[in-house]
Amino acid sequence: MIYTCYGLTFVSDLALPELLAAAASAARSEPDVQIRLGQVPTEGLTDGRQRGPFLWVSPRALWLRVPRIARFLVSDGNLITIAPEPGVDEDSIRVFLLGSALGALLFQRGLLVLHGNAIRIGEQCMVCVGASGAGKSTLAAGFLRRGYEILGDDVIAVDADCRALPGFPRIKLWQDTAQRLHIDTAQLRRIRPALAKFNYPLASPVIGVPLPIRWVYILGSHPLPDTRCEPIHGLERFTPLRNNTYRVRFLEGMALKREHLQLCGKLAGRIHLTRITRPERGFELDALVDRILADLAAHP
Amino acid sequence: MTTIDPTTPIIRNSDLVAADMDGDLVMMSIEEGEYYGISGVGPRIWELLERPVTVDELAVTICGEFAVDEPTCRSDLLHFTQELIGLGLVQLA
Repeated sequence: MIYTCYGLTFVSDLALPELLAAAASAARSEPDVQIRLGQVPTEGLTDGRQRGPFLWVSPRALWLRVPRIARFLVSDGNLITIAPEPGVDEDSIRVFLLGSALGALLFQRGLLVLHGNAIRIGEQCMVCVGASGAGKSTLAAGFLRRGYEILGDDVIAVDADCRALPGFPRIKLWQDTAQRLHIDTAQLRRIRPALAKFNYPLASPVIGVPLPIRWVYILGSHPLPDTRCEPIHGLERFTPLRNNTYRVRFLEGMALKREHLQLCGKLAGRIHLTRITRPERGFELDALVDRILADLAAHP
Repeated sequence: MTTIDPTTPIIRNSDLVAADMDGDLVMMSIEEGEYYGISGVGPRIWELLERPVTVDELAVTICGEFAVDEPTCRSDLLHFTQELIGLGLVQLA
């Protein structure tokens, strides 16, 4: 089956319902990436360095073992080989395939990969990053409800021109978030059978083109009752960009830290970067969306 | 540690990557992967350290571009470059 995302065509042994099917014309040309079911070494890489109990990295390959799910080998930015464990369900494989493995592949292709979501604002886009639980996906759903297009959720690929590449049309939502947004989870597919987290499919992005990133918001929460917007300048811009890089520890063995620093510098030079901190209690989603829209308008 | 005086020619360590970060500078040593940041007048000094230069020469340029008296400038520069040498970011030319 042939799919498209991040401007790449993927041919995959595994069905990937989250992704957009590629146009029929794509079948005639060579795919950018192959996803195969096959043999993956059991004990890591012979030419790489061990970076964690289940992680090996070399400049050309990344080996990842997810116990009871699968082993993944991501090579040369164009091949992901998956060796599933016996009896594992495909949903669980896809969570790690479309997360860590895809993130590693995008790094190998020289992209900056951020952990967050990207929302179209006119002919540009804003990216929202932040720690797990900060409310990124909820915020994306809030923008979606207002009619904004989502370029991607979770794994955001940024090219050398600081453009976010269109990802795949879904948001991952926890049960409580979906309830608050009046989304009926009975109709949704769980991202993994045992997890109360759901794939909320979006209408296909109207535009499948990369959009320049103009704003980055770092979403967090604090025990205070007010929402704060604090612009970040100069040197202070680097740490949040680094910390919100997707699976930043992958970079260590990939010999990509130089490229990563340069991409962060390019991005830092063109964005309006703001820390937005909401109250821990009582997530006023509509108010937060309004606050960000006002800030976007104040910094065109 | 290497100590310098205002007439010692010094130069950037070429084993460093630097990225402009909104006017400031973030540098990384390729070998250790440690990050360092420089702000204020620092990025300009870093620029001048691209070729062999002494603290005396740096002081002349910086005093021409920033509102600072020469003795203070020379003393600050000596302190700053000495610190950069200690971190391995700058070396004897």
